[in-house]
Amino acid sequence: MADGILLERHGVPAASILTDAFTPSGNAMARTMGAKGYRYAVIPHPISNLTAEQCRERARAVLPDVLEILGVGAERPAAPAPAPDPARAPDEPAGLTGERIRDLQRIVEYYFERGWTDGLPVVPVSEDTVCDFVDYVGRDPEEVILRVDHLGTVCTVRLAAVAAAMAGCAREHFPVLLAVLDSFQPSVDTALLQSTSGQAVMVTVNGPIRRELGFNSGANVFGPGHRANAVVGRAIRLVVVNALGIRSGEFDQGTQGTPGKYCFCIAENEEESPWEPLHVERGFPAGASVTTANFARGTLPVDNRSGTEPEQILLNIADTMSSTTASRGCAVVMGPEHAHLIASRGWSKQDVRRFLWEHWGRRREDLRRFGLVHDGVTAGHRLSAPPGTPDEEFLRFAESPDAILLIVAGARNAGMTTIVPMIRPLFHSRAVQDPPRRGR
Amino acid sequence: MGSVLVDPTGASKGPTPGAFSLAPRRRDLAGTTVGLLANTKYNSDTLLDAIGELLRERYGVARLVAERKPYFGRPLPEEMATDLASRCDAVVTAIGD
Repeated sequence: MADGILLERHGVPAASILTDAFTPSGNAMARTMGAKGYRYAVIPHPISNLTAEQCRERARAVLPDVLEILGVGAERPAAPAPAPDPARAPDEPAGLTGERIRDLQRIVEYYFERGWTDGLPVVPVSEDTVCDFVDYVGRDPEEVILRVDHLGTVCTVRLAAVAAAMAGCAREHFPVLLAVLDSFQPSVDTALLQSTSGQAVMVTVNGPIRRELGFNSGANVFGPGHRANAVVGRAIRLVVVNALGIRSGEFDQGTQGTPGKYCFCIAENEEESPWEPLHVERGFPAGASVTTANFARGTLPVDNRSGTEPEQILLNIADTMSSTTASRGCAVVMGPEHAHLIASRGWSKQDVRRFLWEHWGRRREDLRRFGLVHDGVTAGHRLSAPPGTPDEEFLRFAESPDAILLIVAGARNAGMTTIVPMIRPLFHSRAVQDPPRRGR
Repeated sequence: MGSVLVDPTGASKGPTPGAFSLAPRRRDLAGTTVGLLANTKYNSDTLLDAIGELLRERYGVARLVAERKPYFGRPLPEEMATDLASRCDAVVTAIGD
């Protein structure tokens, strides 16, 4: 796209062909290069796994558009179509002065000095904000939603509201945070928050609240740039740090941790998934908004743009899941392109999970080679491999396909899937409660 | 409009590209040289080759110039653009994946 525009500037007519998944990038590039509305030809995405004959079919189909863009046979070339102007920037808040901003910076510094942050600046919170948040959800502020008995700490609705506001939430985000915290099993889950394995809390959001609050489920789903994902994910960490008192290097003993500990919140791309969404698979009505929380050691990419058979893609995914580092549970966050390729051959979500589970593991000799077998059991995985188990035996890492969460998320612009390993298959789903005022 | 807060975005301070207008078009491709610029992503060249063949067979294009840009993530280097522009009457380019 950029090249086409550059060549036009050099005086040569150019026709750029984009796959449909890249049209937003194409439009943005045209705008950036001062050629808003520059015309290009579009073909269906993807092309990277097509055969030569399929490429020729695409070429035949797109040729009329290419010719039209090049002006072949036309009386006069079409001018770039006018594109709507971007929305006007909002006005700066009234009454700002350099002094008021310095005040705010002093407040931000104070939070750092108190050790009340995750290492990033927080939004200062006063009692009115807390009341506003608590009032919005209509719950008792002193209700205990999470406790760590061995540390003697609790998280109340009120403390959760403080964390949410500090993280940058608006009060509309608060019910989503509460659903996550309500879903925890205190004794098991809070212990994992301290583990040397350094797991983060990953959250997947399903249902209409994704659109209402603007959760990102598409391009860069694990990445930055979207307030709802960022602030809900971050609020969990601020609950852990401030309400539960689990701070890095003290009660949080993560050996290395993961960047996901800052925030790790995605939404499922239900619109581009060929399957029923995660919450429906887990027994909730399709119209419910639901959070699913799990512990996550990080992300492992599976980049496969050339596979054409479901088994190829799934074996590639299973191979990545089968890293010998302990994981007995997994979230498989499949890009829409892989999901469509697999579903188009008649595979259900259950078929996919079963296939992955069957191929998820290692031969015992691999584990022995890496020093992961002690006294007849494999360390970390705690797999049952009694003495006398042959070395060539394939040991499955999980007990059933239920150890796999299958989620569709990301952009439909390349064959990509991400594996999120968990120490054990521990995940909880919870419906987001409607605030009493709103009803629905 | 206040202006106490500093605008952190780079684009607003950057040089604005000059006014854009399309290069002059030709109504007929017979006897011309057409460039095919692949972005190096898999199959982008296969697609462009197929388009090139069709242009040759059906529209009388005389010569095809197939080029690959050095790296898909950056625009075409200036000297390659100048070179293509001097050798070609029109260029077709594709973004793959």
